This record gives sequence, structure tokens and C-alpha cells, in this order.
Amino acid sequence: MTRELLRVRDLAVRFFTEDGQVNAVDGISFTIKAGEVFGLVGESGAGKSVTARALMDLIETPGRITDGAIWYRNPELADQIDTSRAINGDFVDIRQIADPIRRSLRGPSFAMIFQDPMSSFDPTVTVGKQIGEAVEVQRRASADGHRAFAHSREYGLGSMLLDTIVPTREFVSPASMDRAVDLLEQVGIPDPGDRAEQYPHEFSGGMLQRAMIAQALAGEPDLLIADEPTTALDVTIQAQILELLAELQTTEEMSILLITHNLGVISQMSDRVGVMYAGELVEQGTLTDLFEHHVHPYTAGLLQSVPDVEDPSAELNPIDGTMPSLLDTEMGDRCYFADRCPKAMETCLEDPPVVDATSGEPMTEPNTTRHVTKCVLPNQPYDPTAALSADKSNNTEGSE
Amino acid sequence: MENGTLQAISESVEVSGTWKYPLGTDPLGRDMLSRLVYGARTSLLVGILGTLIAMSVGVPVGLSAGYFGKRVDDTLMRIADIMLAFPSLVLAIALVGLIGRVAIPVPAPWATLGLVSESMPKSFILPGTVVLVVGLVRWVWFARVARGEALSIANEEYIKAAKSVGASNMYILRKHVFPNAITPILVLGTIQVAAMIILSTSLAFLGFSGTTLSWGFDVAQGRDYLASAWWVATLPGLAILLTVVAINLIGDWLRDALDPGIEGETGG
Repeated sequence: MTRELLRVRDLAVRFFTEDGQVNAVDGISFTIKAGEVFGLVGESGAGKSVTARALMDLIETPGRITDGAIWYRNPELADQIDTSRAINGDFVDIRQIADPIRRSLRGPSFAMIFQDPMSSFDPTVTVGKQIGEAVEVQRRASADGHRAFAHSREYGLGSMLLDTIVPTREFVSPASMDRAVDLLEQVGIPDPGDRAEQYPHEFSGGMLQRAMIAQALAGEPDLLIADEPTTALDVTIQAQILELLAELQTTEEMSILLITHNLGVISQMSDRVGVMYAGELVEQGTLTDLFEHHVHPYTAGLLQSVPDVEDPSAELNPIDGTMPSLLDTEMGDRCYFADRCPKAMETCLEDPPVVDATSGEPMTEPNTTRHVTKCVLPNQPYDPTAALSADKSNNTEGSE
Repeated sequence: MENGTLQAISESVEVSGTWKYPLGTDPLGRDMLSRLVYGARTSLLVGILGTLIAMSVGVPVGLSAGYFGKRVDDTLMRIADIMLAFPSLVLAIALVGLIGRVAIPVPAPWATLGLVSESMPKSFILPGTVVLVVGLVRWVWFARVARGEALSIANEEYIKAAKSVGASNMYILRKHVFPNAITPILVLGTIQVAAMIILSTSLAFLGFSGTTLSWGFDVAQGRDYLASAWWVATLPGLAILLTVVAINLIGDWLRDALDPGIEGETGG
């Protein structure tokens, strides 16, 4: 069994808006092992991207990580940290370490590729230079010895002023530019030397997505977070990008957190899968657990709403209704899927426990490499006589 | 004019024009045409240097406010609002009093190049106080524009992408936010040169110039003779008007040239 790389425990991200508190991510736990692809699926607004950004520490105001721990396995880092609370063996809780250290993890530990490659490159800087920047940041940081603390000193006020007075000063060294060209070649961009000199608008969407992957690879990350990497691309390019990701994952020996709402992509790429709904992980397990032995009705619903290639005439079975509002005041403490669930029962008006999907045994220490679900069904098989009637569910909604 | 150079001082006061002094002289016998020509140097230099000062204060403040947001934004922008609450001329007069007199001697370029004719000035005094004051009064405009740009740029994906590869805030500000915000700042810069010329000539008109070689000073001087010799006050006034209009036209052209969107909208 491979080692665990990341243990996310009870992670909660809330947005404090004028309308009230939005529970975008509501206490989720999952584990990513070294060298595996963990897929995260769910419909739009389920909290997938927020989860990814929380790992990168890129949550923006009015959002905040309010609770939970992100244990990241890095023995080297664990040696450097003094705060004992933040250490558990080789694992470090990156939520508890100082900001500069956490920032220094971006690149060599976690890297991210974004949804829309077109808007993820600065239009005023050449593609090669932007990848070179990523290389340069890492090169300077590691040249300084104590990598974790060097980061904030690398480019400060002084460099900024100097750059303004002497506009020809280059931050990116020729060596880093060479490495950038190598990276472009590695992600399959033809003629990388000339391409590096071009601006983002001269690239196609697929090429830019490759360039972004190249940029993410610059720090040789342990975990690559791919936030819907193929959404903005057409299907043929999509396949190429996925192939590239799979290939790089083996050569670079990194883990990938793959976020998508495309079940086809998940089945093709992932080792294990988590299904998100309304800020919660409702079910997770291996690919076969989820696709063949799923327990949660939402997982079943998601799988049924995919068109069947074998039988194109078959009718689609979309899940009725929409995801509930994530406003704290309107959420209450219940199963958020109950209103749309074909198997909703009286007990679903209470918050369901996280249990083992087969035995129904509750998970106290969420050892989430097993097949688990947040549902009452494993313990209480569906009983039509106890079914939740529509008006009752509405009443509860009204009273809250 | 004599020997191809301007004869700056007359032996006698010539109010109306002669061939030697086409626009006459001022009450002290100084040639008005020479004053008009050399006044341009003072006005333009004050306008341009003042704009540079305003930019170097306002742009960093505005960009950091917009980029960091939250408390940084609140603090910096409240200061800017307070600055805006004062009428600029009143604030400028107060600042002139506060700073006192700073005069910067600037060598005339031909003096350093050795192309000197005896009658030409070797250097001139740049009213440093006025340059500083107009710059410090006007930085708020730059701060506001820069903040607006930085606010929208900070939400761009490429800023998140830059953060995700480990770039520091200073780096992102200088290399990604600033270059993308430069267009409106440049356009504002040209227009502010004109605004600063008006502000500095107003100061000179009121007697806070730090130099007597200024169009504003000439207008103030000619004010007393409007009934008998209208051109003494009118011609420097026209010079101010023409300069400001010309600079504004440059600003308009620059905006059209730098912003492809405007062309597309009217063309389509």
C-alpha cells in the first residue's frame, strides 16, 4: 500500500456575505495517497473548486477556512517547524504554519492548473517568460538553502523599486528560460523555442492548457490540483490533455486531485473518487466502489444522468430539483439531498452520520481511504412506508 | 529680436509693440515675447515633473489598495478621500506655506552643451515648491484610477495562477498588476499634465510661484493694465489655453490609440 500524502480532516470554508454565512465547504474529510489520482465530482456550486483553492490557500475575501486540518506529509518540513501542534509524525498541518512557509509550499508541494487557460495567463507577458517566472521563483528559493523562509525575501520592495528605475532588469535568468523551453517541450508543444517568445493570444486554448501544465510542473509538485482542466476545451483536445496528465503523473510521480463534473473524465483517470454535494462529501471510495457499488442516492442519480453510449435511445434520468441554497440560515441540520432524494425517509430530517458504505459502522476517526458515505441507507434500508412525504419536507423548510 | 536671439531686456519701458519688442515689454522693461517663450519651459516642466511626482506617489498607493484590499484599501482610500475633500487650490496654497521655498537650479541644456550665446541664460530656477505641491495635491487622481484597475486585475485568473506557482505579492504587483494597469494611468498622466499647468499658473497668479518667469505671474501683472494694454494679460492667458488644449488633445489621442475597445465599439 502506498503512503498517504494528504489528509484533509473536517475542512470547512465559509463565505461571509451580506446575505449571511455561506457554507461552501462544510466539514469534509478525504485522503490522497502518493501517486494516485483522486477525482472530485459534483454539480456546479457543490464546493469542488473552493476545496481546491483551500488547499492552495487561495480563498479570497469574504471567504475563510473556518475549521479543519490539512495534514500534508513532508518529513523535511516537519523538521523545520517548531509548533508541535502542527506536527503529527511526518505530517504537517498546513493550516497552522506561518503564512510565508505556507506560501513557499506553492510550487514545490502543490501546484494548480485552472479551468480557463485563456484567462490564466497575463496577456502582457510572453508564455515562455511566465513559465520561466515559476522556474525562477523555485530556483531562487532553493538556492537560498532554507527554502521555506527564503521565499518572502526573494522579491521585496527593493527589487520592486529597482525594477521600476531600471525597466530592462530581467527577473528570469537565461537558465530558467531554458528550463521553461524544456518544460514546454515536455508537455508536447511543437517548436517550443519559438513558442516561448509568443504572447498568450498567439496560442490556442489547448496549447495554453499545455503551457499551464508546464508552468505547474516547474516546481515539481507533490500534488497537482487540476480544477476542471478540460472544461474550456473541445473534446479532441480534452482527450489529449487528459492523456498528457496521465503520462506526466507516472513520469513525475505526483498525485493529482482532479476536479470535474464530467464522470467520463473521472472514470478514465481516477483511482479513487469523492462525490460532493452542497459542500459535503456524500460518498467516496475507489472507482469500482463508486461506479458499481454506490450507496448514496445522489451518486446513483449522477451516474444515471449520463447518456448511455450503448443505448442512445434510452431516456436520460436527470435528478429532479436543484441544489439547496448554501446560506447557513436556510440549511438547517439535515441531509441536504433529502428534498431531491427518491429514497428520502423520516430519518433524513436529521444530519446523517458518515458511515462505512458496506458495514454501516460509523467513522469516528475518518480513515477515509475506505468506501464511506454520508447517508442513513447502509444502516437503515429504504422502507417506502417511512418515506418522507413532500409536504412534510416543505414544512420543515418553511419552519427553518 | 537681434542677431537671431531674443533680446530679453529693453532700455526703456515699451508697452505697445515695436519691431524690436513685438509684444511690448512689461512694466519693468522685460520683453513680453521672451517671457512668453521662456514661460513655456516653466509651465511644461512643472506640469511634467509634477505629474511624475503624483504618479510615483499615487500609483503605488492605488495599486496596493486595490490589490491587497480589506484594511489596506480602507486605510489608503480614506486618506485619499480626505485629500479629495479639500479644494485643490486651497490645499496647494496651504502646502506652499508648509513646505516653504525650494528652488531647483536647472542648467539650460545649451549651456552644458557649450552652445552659448552671451545673451542666453546659463541656467534657470525651477520652482521646486510648486512642483512638489502640485504633485502632492494631485496624487489622489492616480491612486483612484490605479486602485480601480488593480481591483479588477486582482480578480483575474492569471493573478491566482501566479500565486499558485509561488510568486510573492511584490512580484505580482510589479510584474503583473502594474503592466496591465498602465494604459489608463498613462492617459490620466497626459491629462494631469494639463491640469497641473493650470494649477501651477493659478498659484503663480496668486503670487505663490517661486519664480517670476511664469505665465500665471504675467497674467497677474497685466491685470492692472487691462483697460489700456489688454495684450499684456491676454497673451499669456492664451498661451496657457493653447498649451492645455494641446495636451488634452494628446491625451485623447493616446486613449484612442491605447484602447482598442473604443475603436471597436464605434466602428461596429
